[in-house]
Amino acid sequence: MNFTSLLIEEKKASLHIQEARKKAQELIEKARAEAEKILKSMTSEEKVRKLLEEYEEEVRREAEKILEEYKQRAEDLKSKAVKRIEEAAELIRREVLGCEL
Amino acid sequence: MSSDQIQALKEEIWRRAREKAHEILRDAEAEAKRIIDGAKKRAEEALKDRLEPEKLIIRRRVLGRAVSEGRRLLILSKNELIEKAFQKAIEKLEEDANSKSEAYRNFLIKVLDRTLSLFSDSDEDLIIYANRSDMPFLKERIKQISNPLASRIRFEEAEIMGGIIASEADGRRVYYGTIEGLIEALKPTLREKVAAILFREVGKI
Repeated sequence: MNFTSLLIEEKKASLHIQEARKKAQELIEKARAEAEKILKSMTSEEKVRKLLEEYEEEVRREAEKILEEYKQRAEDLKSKAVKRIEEAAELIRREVLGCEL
Repeated sequence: MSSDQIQALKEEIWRRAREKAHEILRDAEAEAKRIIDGAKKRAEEALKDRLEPEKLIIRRRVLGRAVSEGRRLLILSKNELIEKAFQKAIEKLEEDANSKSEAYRNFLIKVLDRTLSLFSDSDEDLIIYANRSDMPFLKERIKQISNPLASRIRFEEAEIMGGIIASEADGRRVYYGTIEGLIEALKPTLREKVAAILFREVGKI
């Protein structure tokens, strides 16, 4: 009788382990499905397009800064050069009137 | 075997079973995590491989356009300043021509001498076009010099800033010695010199 009850417990314990194996298998299958989903969503056309749009916006802001720098350079250039127009005009005048014909 | 011993054995069976089940689930969880982490890593790499070339193209296109536009702005600013210098020079030359400054009179003499030299082999009459205010000076100069051409020169008025245009009567040969013509002829060379003055701290145009 005692041995029988031990065998029954042994059987129950074995079922408990089997149940754990089943759950483990489910866990892994769920992970595989999740992995597949991750791969698909990360490389989807929509995702790629959205990321590229965001990147282009970022680069555009950078481009605006570059253009602003050039505008500033052009302004600096004008403010410095404008003081020398008289000197340059005098050079032209001298060269024209003094030109070897 | 006593009932206590049986109970102890049962407990041992269950302890081992629970431990085994726990181990199985722990391993499964670790495997699941590995699968998901691996997928995330692979997805990120795939995404990176997909995005990087496109990003490079976008970057080159957008920044390249900005740099081109910036350079264009700089060149336009430089050209504008160079043109202002030429405009100012024209005003100065007009002032010279109107006031008959010494430099301008020397210039007229030089142009006239050059004309007489160029047409010295001509049998044709010579027409000299000049602005009205330069006529007296040119006529006086012709009188002063002894040149076989002198008697065959005819003066006519022209709407020019200064200098002269000389033409054989039959129009076969023409010499342009006007201020306007010289400015245009010298412009390419002068632009370099003007740019060197205007932009000496910022390099050549």
